[in-house]
Amino acid sequence: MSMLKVRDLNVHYGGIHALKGVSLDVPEGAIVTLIGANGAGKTTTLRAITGLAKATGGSIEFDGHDITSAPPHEIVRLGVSMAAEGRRIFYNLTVMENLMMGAYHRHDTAEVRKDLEWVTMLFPRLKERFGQKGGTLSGGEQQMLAVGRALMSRPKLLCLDEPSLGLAPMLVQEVFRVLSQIHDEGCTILLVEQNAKAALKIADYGYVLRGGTITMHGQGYELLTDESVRRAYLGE
Amino acid sequence: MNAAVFFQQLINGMSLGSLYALLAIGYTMVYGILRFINFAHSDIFMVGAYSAFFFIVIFRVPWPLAAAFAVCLTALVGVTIDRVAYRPVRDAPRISALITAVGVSSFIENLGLVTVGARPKAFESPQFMSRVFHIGPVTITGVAIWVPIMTFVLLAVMMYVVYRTKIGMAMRSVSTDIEATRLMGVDVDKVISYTFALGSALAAAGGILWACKYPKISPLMGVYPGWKAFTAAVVGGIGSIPGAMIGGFIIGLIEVMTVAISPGLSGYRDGVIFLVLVVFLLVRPTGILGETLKEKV
Repeated sequence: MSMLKVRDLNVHYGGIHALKGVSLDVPEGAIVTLIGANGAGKTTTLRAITGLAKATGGSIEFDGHDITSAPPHEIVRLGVSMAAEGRRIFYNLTVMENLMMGAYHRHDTAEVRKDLEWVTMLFPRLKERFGQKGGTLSGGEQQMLAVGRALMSRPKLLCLDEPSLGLAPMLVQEVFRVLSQIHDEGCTILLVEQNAKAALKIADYGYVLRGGTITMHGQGYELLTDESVRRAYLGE
Repeated sequence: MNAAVFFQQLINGMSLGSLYALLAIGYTMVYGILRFINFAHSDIFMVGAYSAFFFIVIFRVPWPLAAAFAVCLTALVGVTIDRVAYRPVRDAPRISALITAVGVSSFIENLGLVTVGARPKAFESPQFMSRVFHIGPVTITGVAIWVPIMTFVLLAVMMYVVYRTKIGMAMRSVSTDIEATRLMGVDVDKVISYTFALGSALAAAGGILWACKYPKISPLMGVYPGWKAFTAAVVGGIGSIPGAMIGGFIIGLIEVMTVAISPGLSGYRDGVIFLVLVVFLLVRPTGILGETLKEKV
């Protein structure tokens, strides 16, 4: 069953028609990836799902709730969280505080503590940096913090926008390893990536976005072996 | 100037400076989050003093209770101003909010002139404020002692709220990145309301203590303290709470010492402060503790 149902989604951005009728499904327990060139509308799609961008048409349904025009804080409470593009770390808050911000709306203190342990198990490096200000972390550590912070809300659906952007190859591998691990533990993932190859490799299903519309979709391995996808997005 | 006089002026300067600090925090907190100067903040200060005045004179409420009521009422006024005037222009360009703030300030001042009249009213300060203490050659009034003490207590409470509580953590995160804070499941409008409540409560406390120190209150009483507190916030580094405190004390000391060192300049005491503002804006616009604004990518 689809956990997230996006139907005929339209978004206008200051006179630009950024999304022109995007429809996609994220089944429970799956990793779904959205690939495409810069400006294709990948980030806008995620922003509309998380409530940061206003949909001008179409509908978004999550877990049976219509979230098309819900404010971001309510969408998070329903179980959608996002590690946004550019990491968006609170540089003036400590690493610990950044993580606790992720659990801001939760009141189950004991469970939050457990999740904090879980996140520090996924990213041991963060634990060594607990008292440090977020702004003092390296790019890779900030990315881990962004993902860890998004996990602290214990989401049903985790949206990730370019988690590998600007990272050294070693760290990219590390991030993808953790993503599979998070997925194995039952989290549904919607992944937007420039690194289409790595994304399609771990994804169950993929959508190709171009000029604000879905031009292709299929199983991850299907897209990975598709001639036109290989030429356009995998640089082969 | 001998040591006794210097010490006396030091206490006077700290006392005045602590009031500027109380007021400066409101400017810096709102700027930190919304990136505009809330010009109506100086009028909130006035509303605080008048509320206390009315609770005492008209309703005959005992002084400490009147002060507490006035602080709460003024906090509510601050939240209402944000709700009615600033929230509708939240997504508009920043200059719109700035112009709105100037309008709100003018509105409150004129509303004050119409309703309570332009004639200053005598503020009744409590007895312990008017006691006079002699320490050797130094003469200190109760006000000069109590004002900084109360200010320190309030500042400590405020620091606790901002740096040790959950809502304070949200205030700090909103000031870095509103959108990312929304993604954490935080209702940002609520956090902004709390910020206005806290800033306005401190301004009210400042207004009441100011009225104890200078017991004549009028609808325009907030204008000059407001500008000087704004200067203090800029000197300390706008957006930085510890900066606003430090800036407040610096401005208070400069003002008092200018007059103490050269009494001939007493007519220029306000001018000297604004000269400090101009110099800081030219030489170090980020202030003492302010960070250079990072451009967001």
